[in-house]
Amino acid sequence: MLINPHQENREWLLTALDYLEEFAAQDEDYFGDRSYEAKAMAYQRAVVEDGKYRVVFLGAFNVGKSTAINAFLGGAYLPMDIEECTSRLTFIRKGEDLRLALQLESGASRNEIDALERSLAGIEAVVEISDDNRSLTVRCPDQNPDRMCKALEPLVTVSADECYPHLAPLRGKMESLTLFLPTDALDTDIVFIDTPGVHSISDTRQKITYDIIEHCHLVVLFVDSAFVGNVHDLNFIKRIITCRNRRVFFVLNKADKLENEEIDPRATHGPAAQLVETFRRNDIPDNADVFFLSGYRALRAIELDQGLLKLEEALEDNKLLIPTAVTERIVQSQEPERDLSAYLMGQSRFSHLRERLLDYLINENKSNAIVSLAGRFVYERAADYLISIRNTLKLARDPRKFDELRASREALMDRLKTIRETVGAALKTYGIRFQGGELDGAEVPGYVARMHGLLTEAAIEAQVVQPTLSWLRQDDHLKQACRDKFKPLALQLEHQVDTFVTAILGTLTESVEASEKEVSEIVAEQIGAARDLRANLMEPEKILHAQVESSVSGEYVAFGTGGALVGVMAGAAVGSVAPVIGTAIGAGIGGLLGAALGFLARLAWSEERWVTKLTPLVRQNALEMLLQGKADGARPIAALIAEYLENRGKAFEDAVKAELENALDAVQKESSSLLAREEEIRRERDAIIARLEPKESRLEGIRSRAESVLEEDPMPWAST
Amino acid sequence: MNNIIPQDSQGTPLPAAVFSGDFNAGKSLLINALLHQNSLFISREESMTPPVLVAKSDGGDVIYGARPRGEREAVALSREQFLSSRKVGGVPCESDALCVLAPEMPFRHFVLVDTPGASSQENRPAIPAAAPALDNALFVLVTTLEYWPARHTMSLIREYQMRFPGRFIVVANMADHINTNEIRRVRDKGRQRMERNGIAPAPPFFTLSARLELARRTGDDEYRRRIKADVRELCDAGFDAFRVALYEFEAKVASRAVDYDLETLLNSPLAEAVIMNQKGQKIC
Repeated sequence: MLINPHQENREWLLTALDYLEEFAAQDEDYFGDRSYEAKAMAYQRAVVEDGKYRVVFLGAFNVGKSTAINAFLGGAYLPMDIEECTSRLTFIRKGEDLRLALQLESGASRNEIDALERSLAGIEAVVEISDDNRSLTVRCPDQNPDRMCKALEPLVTVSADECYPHLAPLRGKMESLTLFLPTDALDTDIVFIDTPGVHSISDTRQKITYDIIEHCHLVVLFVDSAFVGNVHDLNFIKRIITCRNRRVFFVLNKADKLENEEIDPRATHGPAAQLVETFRRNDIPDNADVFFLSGYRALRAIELDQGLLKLEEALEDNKLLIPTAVTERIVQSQEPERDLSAYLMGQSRFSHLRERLLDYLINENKSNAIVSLAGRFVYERAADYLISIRNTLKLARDPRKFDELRASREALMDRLKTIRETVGAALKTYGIRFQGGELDGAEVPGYVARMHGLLTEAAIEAQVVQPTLSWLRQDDHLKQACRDKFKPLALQLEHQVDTFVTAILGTLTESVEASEKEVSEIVAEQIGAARDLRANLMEPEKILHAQVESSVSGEYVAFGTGGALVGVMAGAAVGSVAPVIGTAIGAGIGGLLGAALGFLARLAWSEERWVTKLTPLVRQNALEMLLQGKADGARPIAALIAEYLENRGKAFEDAVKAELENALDAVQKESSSLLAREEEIRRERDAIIARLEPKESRLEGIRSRAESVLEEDPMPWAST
Repeated sequence: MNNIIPQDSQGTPLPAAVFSGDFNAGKSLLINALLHQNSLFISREESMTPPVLVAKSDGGDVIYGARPRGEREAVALSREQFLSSRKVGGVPCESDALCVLAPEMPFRHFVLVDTPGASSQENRPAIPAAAPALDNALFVLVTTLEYWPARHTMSLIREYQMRFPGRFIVVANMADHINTNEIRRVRDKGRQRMERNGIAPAPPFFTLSARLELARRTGDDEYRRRIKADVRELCDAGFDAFRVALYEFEAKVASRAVDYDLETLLNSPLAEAVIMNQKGQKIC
């Protein structure tokens, strides 16, 4: 019989999480933030337990998360409102019938159940109660989304506090709320999570959303397309992206407010470009997909199709912003409902987002993602808890070590200094490679200089201008170009510039990444050494030894909290320059079009005459775009690349330094906390040893097993 | 030009309405709507703009001016130069302040001040420090109907109300994108919401649409027609109420007629106070 290693790992992770949760919540030898750790552990256990892949919908309140989820589900199940609406997490899963499952922290009283039944009286919903009164199930007999929405209103909306005050005690007891519905939109192994909006005036709602982030596998992040890049969203986005290198779908919702020409998912102009540009300026890694959406239009289109929304109501709905011309056409149409629905659905761009998301969910190895997230979580926690236990044990077994600890404090500080210096030197080498200078006695050109070496006039002539001209001579390209007001020529030039720049970027990125990897390895080793110091505070010989033999390999550290960020920084995540360059190319092409249009009156020119006339235009445009910049002040691509390189270098340095300081800080804290407990440890040595030894072996068991689980499942960033 | 400086011998501060708010909330569009014309630049893109002072001129063409960075001398600009002084993408601008003198300006005394919006560059719009030059100023916080009760907006409202009680109003813009019952609900609950969040007495709260108002004044029927008639009426009424509030404040603080010119306006203590405030926040 084959044993499913996943199954086995899962079961083991559950027991490990149980133990860690209990340890963090109750153990007297734990010195961290008890309530946060215990809660995080319990949640992570729930994730492993149900084995569902969690997709979380995040964004400001009112940005349309619930509306978009409703569109996914094919009906208005979740309450929506023009004011801040969602106040609690709603988990959404596939089920056999439409029902709402409430899990309570403690059993519901008769009064509370009566109150719930009264509030549901108008919709003929049935409430089923478990024996312990802790699980309530609300069933809507006719599977009607509107009824479910009404059932959810008193439970999950902000306005429920005002409109359903008598249900407040029950809401207070709610641990989780899951909506089950029979839909093809969801697979059985997926959970959608609707969250209260951020920027809420309520601290409670804000915290609910922030706490769920680290336990989700995929993030769908909503931004209002009319307010892209505002600073409040930005801080939130930064937090999501820097918290693990996780996949994010960006949705620019309410795109119905935009003009058609602003909607450009390629991000060469409009809000999408603005988002990318904002990310670039703020050093946010942007390995994300950007989608435009009008969730409201999509949902209304679906309801029109289902006959749940009347044509007149839709035409009267100001929020749909239907242009006058479209309204006139619809009114005269044979099948007005169908036509309006088709118009709204097409304009909503919903199908694009849905297909991409479903596609991603089908192809993603979901059970791997779940085990891997949990495995990393368990490993980090166990390794961390273990250090303090071991240090205390050593001191209890041999109190003379207190004197050694005190004596070796200076040496410890020296070691920390050496670690700082080693990393500093590595960063210096890194800096020289970036900026140019002398390295090992040889002159090294900086990346910017290298870029200028690749992006020369001669190279542009050979790789951009000439290929564009030979394209023009081929087939009927010239004729077509004239006929379409030179747009095909502009596109061809765009393509050539694109290829040329991509090649240069490829060359540069390759060596930047190699250099980052080299520094990351050194930093990982030094952070490992700092961890070692924390673990070996009582071993003066290890501290005094000038060359600490790090028992910790780079790989080991990359599993830990410390190494995680460095691992990410070393990868492709510092930010992509490609969309910015795309914008510059898009803008640059406009100039060529304008100038060439003047020639259109000369249709009698021979082909060679045309090419001769167009050559200087193509050349000038290519040079301006790439090297010189435009008369209107638009910056050349060379300048954009230079700026990108500098930002990337700086972001990397900052991340490395921050990680290092965290690790060094932990060492110093450990040492002072142990010395503070000296008296207690000396007095109660035997009791402490007897108490800690079993904990040590348990935690060590968990740590090493988690490590082997992780070896089976490579880190997400290792594959990117 | 008469030699009257726009601050009389007793040093009475200029009557002004200072507009602030997040970028894209529609401050400039709101001023354009008040002026009945597209005088100021508006854009969805985040931009770096110095403060713009708008006042009434004696007649003739619209006059544009600027105070170059770090200098005291005001220079006249063409309309094109004025419009191109806006910089996109984090490029710093070259002027400390800009100025528009428009003959059609409906306010005889008021100087309308458009301040740079909060962007991804800095944390929030600068709240001006109380200064004698701002003693006759009304502060208008421009936000949007959909997002106005956000925690950051609420804390701004609280601070404005504490600093300038009785001289502060809140405008919830972009009401034209939703339905009438929703607009009414948000409007009617607005002050109650503020009071519940400890802002008492709550400042006046106006729900309107600057874009719809500008369309009304410039005859852009295409846009007007796109919005349902009942929503249009509600938005127009909201804007009218807002305009009346401005007129009332102007009548209260303006004691005598003032003739404005570039030099004196851009070097007035009011301009100074606004520029200092922006510099303190390291914008531009």
